[in-house]
Amino acid sequence: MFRAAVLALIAAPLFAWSEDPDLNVNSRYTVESVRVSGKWASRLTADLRHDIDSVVGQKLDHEVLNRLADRIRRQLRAARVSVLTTRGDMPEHVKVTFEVEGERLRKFDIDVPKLAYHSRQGWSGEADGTLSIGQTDVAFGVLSDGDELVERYSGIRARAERKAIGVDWLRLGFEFDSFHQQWNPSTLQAAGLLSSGGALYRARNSFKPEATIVFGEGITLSFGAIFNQIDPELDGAASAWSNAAAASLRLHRRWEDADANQHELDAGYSIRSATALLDSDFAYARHALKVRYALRHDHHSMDVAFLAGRITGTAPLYERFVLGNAETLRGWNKYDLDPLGGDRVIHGSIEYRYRLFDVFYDAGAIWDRSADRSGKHGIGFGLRTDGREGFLIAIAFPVNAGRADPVFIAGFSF
Amino acid sequence: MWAEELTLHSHNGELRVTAPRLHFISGAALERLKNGAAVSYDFQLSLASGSRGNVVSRAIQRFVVSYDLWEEKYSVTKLKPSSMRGLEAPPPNERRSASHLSSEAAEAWCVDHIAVPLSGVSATDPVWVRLDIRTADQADPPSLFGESGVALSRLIEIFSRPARSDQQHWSAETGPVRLNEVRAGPMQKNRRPSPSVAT
Repeated sequence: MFRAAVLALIAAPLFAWSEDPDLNVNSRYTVESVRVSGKWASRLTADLRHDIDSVVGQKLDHEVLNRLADRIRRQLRAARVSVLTTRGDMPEHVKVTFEVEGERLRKFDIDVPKLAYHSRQGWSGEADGTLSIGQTDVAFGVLSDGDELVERYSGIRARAERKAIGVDWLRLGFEFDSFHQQWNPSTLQAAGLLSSGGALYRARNSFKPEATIVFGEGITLSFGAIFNQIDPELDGAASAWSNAAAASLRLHRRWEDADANQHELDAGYSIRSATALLDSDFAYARHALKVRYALRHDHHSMDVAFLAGRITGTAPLYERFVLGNAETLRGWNKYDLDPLGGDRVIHGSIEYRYRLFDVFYDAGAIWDRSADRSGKHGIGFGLRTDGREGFLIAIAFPVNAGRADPVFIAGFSF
Repeated sequence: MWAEELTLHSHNGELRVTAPRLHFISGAALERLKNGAAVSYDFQLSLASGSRGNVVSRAIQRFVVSYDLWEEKYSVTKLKPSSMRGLEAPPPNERRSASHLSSEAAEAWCVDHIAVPLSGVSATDPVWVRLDIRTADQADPPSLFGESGVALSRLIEIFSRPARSDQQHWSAETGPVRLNEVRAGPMQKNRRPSPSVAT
């Protein structure tokens, strides 16, 4: 017994079995049709429906089908989605059915979309509960975020989304947020020095009606309005309103090339414009462009991200751009770079990962239109799971900051 | 799990078995096959000498079975070692896959293609031979199938733990027998309907 175990242990690292690429004899057949069982297809996003439809005309590949089944299961919050393949009507063709176990579809789901720690800015996190009623999702969340904006905002977020309004290319949504603010001493000092203490606020409530048109091919256009009621920090001051029209155009593509490289492109442009026409006390236009490209091959992955933004007019502090958090210019503290945020921003990031090991380099600048631009760089390394949205634990350093003062970052989805 | 009889054959210093009453293309695995999916089976053939628990030789192998939806026949592929470093290298002309098989022929093909070495095993000592088969864990393939293939260490690990309740498993055992009583010579091929084979 002992001898056999020793032999097995010695032999273990010496052996591996190679896999034939076509282990399934059915992989030579062409997919004639594909469908999702029951009425569940209407509850899938246009992106996923497009990916499902794209297997028609392709050779049968169970790996691809299993990945799609997993996406369907997660999106419908179903207990199980099976792939059934049967003979097609045409010779050498097959029909594919994704069988959703409907009885066990969960109507309620709890999610933690963000959890982040930055050694200079503390913890940020959000927890949501989502209730699905037919075609409508209603979500309620609590959050405290000291990472994304100049302010730390804490409070509640309620969201309702109707996924199909008669036609499946149109969705309607409404969001209500109620946040209380905390300000960093650097921000308080900067606001006082600039005699703009009146720009600070202690609470804000947001109402966001929005419509989304799904064009297919991963392109969506959203438009709507954002009404913000802002309670000033100064006692006795009247509430101000910042009301803006908003629109965003987003492109999301994912594809695989002949060398089994997986590519993913996510690009979005958004504009928010507040004018007196909407009875707004603020008048500004905020433009933001974000592009992210990811390339994956086996255990290697590379992510490149780009951000550019510009604000004209005078915007509330929550609209101003920030660099030096858990996602941008890592290694820097946003309050050291610009404690009031900037109305101009440009940022690029490149990140390479091999298995769990992750290294990154960030470069960017944040400034006001009346000030000079100064570029900053940050580098870091750490461990990350599962792509850009995976859990990251890293140490980042500012470059040429005149100090070797690392920043510790941990969390996901920031 | 149930025990079945094994018939032993020795040839070229290896021990092979036949298990005509062991039917592992059945149940949930058969359902998956009929749905057009490929099903992986992990085989372990072990030889114990002196006592039933003293395993002195073993072979571990993975086979992938699929069912042709149009031809209604089975196809089997034996995953071959990709990095052997001089140990137990397969003959260059070893058959690796077969197609157009009935379910019984596919089962027999898998059992025919696993053997344990007999070197160092006394021909006069009592030996016990055991064949274990499990459907591969559906969660296993991503970790098992790395860039270089299926890691034997993972297969050994799989057989070192009990099968899960939702994992199909079969076993067959025979013994004690003495190797000098085992029928010598290669196993008779094509005793079942002739499959088409690839090398």
